Amino acid sequence: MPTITMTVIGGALCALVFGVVGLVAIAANGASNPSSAAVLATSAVPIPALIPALDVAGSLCPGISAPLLAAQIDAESGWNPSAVSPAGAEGIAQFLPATFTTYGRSDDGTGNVSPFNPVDAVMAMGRDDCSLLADVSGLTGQTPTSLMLAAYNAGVGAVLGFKGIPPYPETEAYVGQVESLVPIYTASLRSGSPSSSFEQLVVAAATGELGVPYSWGGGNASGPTVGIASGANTIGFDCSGLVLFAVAQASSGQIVLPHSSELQATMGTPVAPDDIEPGDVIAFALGANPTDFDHIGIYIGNNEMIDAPDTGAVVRVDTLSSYWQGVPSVIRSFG
Amino acid sequence: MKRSAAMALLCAFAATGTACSAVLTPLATPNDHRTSPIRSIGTHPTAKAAFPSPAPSVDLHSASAVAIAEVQATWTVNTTADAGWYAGVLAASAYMTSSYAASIRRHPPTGAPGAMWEAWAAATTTVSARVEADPGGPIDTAFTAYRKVVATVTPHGAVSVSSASSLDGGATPNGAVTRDGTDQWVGQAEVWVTYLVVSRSSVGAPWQVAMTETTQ
Repeated sequence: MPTITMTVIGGALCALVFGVVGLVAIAANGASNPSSAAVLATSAVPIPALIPALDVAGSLCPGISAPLLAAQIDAESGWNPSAVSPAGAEGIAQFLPATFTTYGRSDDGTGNVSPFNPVDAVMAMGRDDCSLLADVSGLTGQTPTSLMLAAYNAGVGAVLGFKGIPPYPETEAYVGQVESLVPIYTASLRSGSPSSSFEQLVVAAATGELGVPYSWGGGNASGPTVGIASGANTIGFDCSGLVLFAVAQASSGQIVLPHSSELQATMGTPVAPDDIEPGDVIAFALGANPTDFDHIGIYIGNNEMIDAPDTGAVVRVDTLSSYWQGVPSVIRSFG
Repeated sequence: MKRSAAMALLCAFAATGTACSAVLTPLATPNDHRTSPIRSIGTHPTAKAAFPSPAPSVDLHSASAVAIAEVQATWTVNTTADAGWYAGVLAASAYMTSSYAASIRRHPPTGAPGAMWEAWAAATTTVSARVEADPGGPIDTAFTAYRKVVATVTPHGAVSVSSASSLDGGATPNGAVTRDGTDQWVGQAEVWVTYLVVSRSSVGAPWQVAMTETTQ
């Protein structure tokens, strides 16, 4: 989902109220510190006082992390501790009262257990996530994290009922949005050397997916996903899903393109054919309309591109042969 | 020639939502098949509710038209009258096969509608949608069609707001909402892409949506 700009309300207040108290209470609970889990990008957290709670909650069980919880909070409430949904979901983690009753404790040490207390809410979210991971552990075909997020959004009953992510756009969008936000809250996620250019990172991300199956509808900012129809049983990418992924990875989640080759072909900066460089995106109009760009790939140099071509194929290197050169195309750069 | 890092036209959807949507076809009568708001999470009608009917203007013998109508209905919501996005899904069930619609109702979502819903408080949405060709996907048969629909969803301030909330425009530093429904507020548009499997029981029968998957 494209980035949402939210107004954070009360961040400074939270820092004052929950800072020291939250730290002490969480330490007293004896939770272990995160070790091998992804490290939180603390500068990305709008409410710094919540960083200790995020670190502790993110280490409550394998499969969750502080960046994941931060991404969930971003998607749930936009970091608004006083948010109330029309359905009665409350607080920064948007707990329904009955659910919070199960997972909420006085984690800030005040004795006042409330979903509007951000420390209590973050810790409850961690416990809920761990419980949901266990609930969906018997399902296959999608990543445990995706299934857990779907259960958080739609309820574990819906996930078990559909034996996977329920086909609710809000749930599918939620899973994709959270997964695309995780890189923003993860420190030092970028692969490659520190001096790698954006374009090199795009190429590296695409190269790392060579051999992954084509899956119609597959791919998001965090990697290959299960598609639909011919891609229903395949974790992979379609053409625009691969480009979406590579650009998101290269930008550490800052640029999340829509899953549409036609729209991708209109975004970024236009590039003249003579100026094409590795890491640029090249879109083709294979159909009758020369302005409908229905295929897209990533230029890697030497007259080659990496693309996810079609059902039955895998992500591969294609030479830009005379066939491709005879097709209407546009080149865009996102660096 | 090395280009500068002058990034990101990244489609200026904000404000008008039209910068990247020149080829999109606006929904002529948003939500014209819904006569009353549908409550979602909590108090919404689920399995007991009558199935809505397709809008008379939709050509049910066109798989593309049915796919577009399903997506438009899904994202056409009123954040005051509806309790969440599920209201749109229920409305979209007018275009689904009976089995798919039943499964949608059997397992209603139980979570919160999320930050965007809150940011779009007191708004209605308009939806522009179009089919995008995708030669890499499955090939249509006589009874099954595969469509990819790109929807641009734009929130419009429409009703009064009196309670504090989080808004992406109009919130004062203390959280009080200043938007009063008369300020022509238009929020940042969002793009969703939906892949649909559309089926029909026989040649000449109406097309219905049998399965969907929505991505960014």
